Amino acid sequence: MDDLLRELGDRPRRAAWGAYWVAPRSRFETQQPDEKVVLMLRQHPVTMLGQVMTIILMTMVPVAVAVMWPAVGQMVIPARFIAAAGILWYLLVTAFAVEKFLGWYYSVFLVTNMRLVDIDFINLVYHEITTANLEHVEEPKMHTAGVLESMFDFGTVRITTASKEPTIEASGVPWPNKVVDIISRLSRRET
Amino acid sequence: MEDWVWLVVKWMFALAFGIYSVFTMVVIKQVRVMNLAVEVEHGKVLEKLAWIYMLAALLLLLTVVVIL
Repeated sequence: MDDLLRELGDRPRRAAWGAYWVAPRSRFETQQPDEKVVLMLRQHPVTMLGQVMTIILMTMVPVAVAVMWPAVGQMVIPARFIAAAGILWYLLVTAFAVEKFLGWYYSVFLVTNMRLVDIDFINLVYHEITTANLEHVEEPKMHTAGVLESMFDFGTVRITTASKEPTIEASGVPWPNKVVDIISRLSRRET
Repeated sequence: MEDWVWLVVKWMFALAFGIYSVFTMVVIKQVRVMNLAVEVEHGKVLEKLAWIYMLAALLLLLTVVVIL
């Protein structure tokens, strides 16, 4: 592994709050005995900014309702029902946050010395695993678009393959140019 | 308001209790499944947190049912 990393011009490290991990200790379900994980990627945490803002806004809804509609307190609705509704609301917010966090945390893109493995946690009841052998990699490319992507240096890596799955994509990953470089080098070694 | 309205509301809260219980169990199950699919850095911790989340949520929902 050390030789491989030296060849790729990198070293074992973890960066971007765990979104970019070179030579992780991770293993995955269909890993072959001589297969080594070179890179583990997940979306840059900045991509979660929208969801974090939504959650913050959702936590403020009961306060906003109380401020904008003071009559709620004086209405015929008993206090215990208002308390119950409040608890239920915050449980819903928690459920939303849990689902979004798990979706981010478990959606990983692995680059091994043999293949690419894209694990997508779509929602709580559906996840998808796509693999592509490095020898089938034809054209890895990347793009960054927008202010946040340029500022924090993350973007989308799209790999065209000659296998059944024509493209495999890792969106919002840190240092996409470096990722493309590593995939290209590994692919050249395999072919 | 009429008594039957409160009864309906109570049943709706009870239904929410049931649905949320299932949701928290699905969370635990899915964390386990994903930990098997890929070994991430804090997978085991997340599994424990999912259990704590389920127990805390059920306790809160039980409180709701009791106060109603």
